Amino acid sequence: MNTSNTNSIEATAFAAGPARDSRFDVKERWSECLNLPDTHPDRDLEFFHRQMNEEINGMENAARNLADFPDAEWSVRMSIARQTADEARHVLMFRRILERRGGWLGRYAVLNFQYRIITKIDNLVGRLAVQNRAFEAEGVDAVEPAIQKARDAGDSELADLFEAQLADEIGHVRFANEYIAQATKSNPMNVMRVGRALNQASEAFLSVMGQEAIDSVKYTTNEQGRLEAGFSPEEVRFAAADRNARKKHAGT
Amino acid sequence: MSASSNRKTVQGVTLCADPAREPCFRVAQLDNEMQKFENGMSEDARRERLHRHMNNEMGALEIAAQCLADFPESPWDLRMQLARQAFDESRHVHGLHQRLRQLGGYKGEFPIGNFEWAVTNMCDTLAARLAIQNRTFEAGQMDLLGSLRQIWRSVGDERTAEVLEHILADEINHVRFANQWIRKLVQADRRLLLKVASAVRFLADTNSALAGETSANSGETSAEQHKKLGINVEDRRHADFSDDEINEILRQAGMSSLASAGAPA
Amino acid sequence: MGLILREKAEHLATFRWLEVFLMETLARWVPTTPEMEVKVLMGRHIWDAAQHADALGKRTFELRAPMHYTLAPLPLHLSTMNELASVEDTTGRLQSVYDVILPGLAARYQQYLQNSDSLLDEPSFRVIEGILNDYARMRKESEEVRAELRETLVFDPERAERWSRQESAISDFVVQGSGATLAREASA
Repeated sequence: MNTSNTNSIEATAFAAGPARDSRFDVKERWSECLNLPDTHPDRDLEFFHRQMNEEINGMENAARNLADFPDAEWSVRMSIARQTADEARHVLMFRRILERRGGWLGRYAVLNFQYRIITKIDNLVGRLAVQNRAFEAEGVDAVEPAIQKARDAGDSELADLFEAQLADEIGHVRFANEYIAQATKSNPMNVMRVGRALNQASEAFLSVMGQEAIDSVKYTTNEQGRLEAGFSPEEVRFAAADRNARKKHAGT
Repeated sequence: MSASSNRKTVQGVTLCADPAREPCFRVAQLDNEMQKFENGMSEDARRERLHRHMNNEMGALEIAAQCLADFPESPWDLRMQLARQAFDESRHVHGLHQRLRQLGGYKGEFPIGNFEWAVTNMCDTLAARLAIQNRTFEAGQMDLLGSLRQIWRSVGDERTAEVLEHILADEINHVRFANQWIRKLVQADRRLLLKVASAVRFLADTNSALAGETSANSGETSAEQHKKLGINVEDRRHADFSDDEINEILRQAGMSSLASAGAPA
Repeated sequence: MGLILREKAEHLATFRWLEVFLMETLARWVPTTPEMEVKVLMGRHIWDAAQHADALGKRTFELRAPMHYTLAPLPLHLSTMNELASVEDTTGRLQSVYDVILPGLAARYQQYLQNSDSLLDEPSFRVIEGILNDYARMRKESEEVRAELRETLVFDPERAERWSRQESAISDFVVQGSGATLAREASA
């Protein structure tokens, strides 16, 4: 990707980053982070640290949705408020396990791309489509196998953490799915808003992560979790087929 | 055995037997056993109104509670509404008892009647009980309360007027949820319409057999009070009655000219 | 050993059953208890129990069980509850609910909190802590009514103690491995 293209995406798809205190080392690209290999003894610590900051992003995004869209329906604002509280708890959960296992806040570099992508979108339906229905649904896929892996390894603390996180994330994806379905039904313009937001986010995501990081995804689609989260069976089949095609393309 | 399955006979009409009451209460079976006063707002009459109303609220509490006990399979959201109604009616009893005591009255000072309990619990479906208790008796009380508050105010009893105002606000909610749920239940099972219609018919037959049972707050029949005090059209709208239903009630209350002209807001 | 997610859902589903049971028991007692003040007390607490059941039922859904998932307790606990709900006299009914059922349930809720994690399962903690606060208020209100009716109601403390011992002797009360959790229909 050339510099001018990167600058153009920077301007069109990213908002300013969220505030962080001096303990955090904020980077803009995935390649600038440490990205320890799976076999490294500190791999889990880096994962917990990254996850903790992603949950901060999730909390900040939900909070911004409350602040930026005061005229949204009360029921969706209640769900967003609940999401804010859940994400805040997730931050504490990941910080606790990070510190219990020898890590500390600020040990690894962090990315705030989620916040910067989401808050650039100027409508709620688009934000929920990207944050909850795309980013968090990916989380639903990723966490389910991690629960079993942790249980098999006798790590019940981590398995319990993932299980609690997954149950919450399913709730967030579900309310977003319900809201988007109702919003697009009542106003077809919202279909365009969702499409535009997803395109914008997709380009931005690629510029942050790079194709290599995206292709390295190993988990499969969590079909049961996605059904519980309000995706239709057809949407779940599409997500699974898309994931398989991408893995085939990447040779993983 | 459910409290709603016990029976009594009054002037040849089979009704649900009375709910439990303390020995201090004298339970009347007929309107002429109730105490009446020449001056409807004398000090004694005021206490009698409060005493009668207090017992009526106790009956409403018992009916809502019995619906919870008798229909455990009904939709949870409807059960939540009934539980909330039981809570509201309990508070009404408490508030009216408190006011009664402030005016020098006491439990058992006057005879009481359990007509609403006796009729409503003859219905074997929840839709029919809601149609009788909430949509008919409570809606009727809503009409009465709309005017009675002013009457209490006119004799300088602001405190009782305030109590009635709060009760009215709750009753509107009870009538509203009943209206909404009867529609839902009937939509799901059209046979319930027949049950509701039979229940309304049974109420009319019982009323006529007992020669006009009294309503909550005076010695007059409901129809007589409606004529005198008018239909609380505005609050009936809040309680989700349709314009057609309100017009029909106005016609039945002898105000057909208002009904044909459209209900006044 | 803490509870895993499925066991948490099963516990909350059982608590929900017990709250619905309490609501229905109070509802059956309202028309058949003569004392007006006691009727009013029970009528108010019907709404408390309904709200508890509602909050627990919504939480079971968040724990990936069906909405308003409800599980009857194990047979021994169930039969004790049924026995406590079959009391006919007013003083016995007051003792059954306010001296036995509520304290017994409060102890079981506390036990749940001890076996769960206040961070991972914080929404359940909020629901249960709210219920425990309500229980304290409900018991205080029952004491006020007892004081008001002290001339007419005579209590037998030994009976309440006997019931309490019977209730607290039962440790396991939750049916586990019910199979319904985590396998619900997506549309539930």
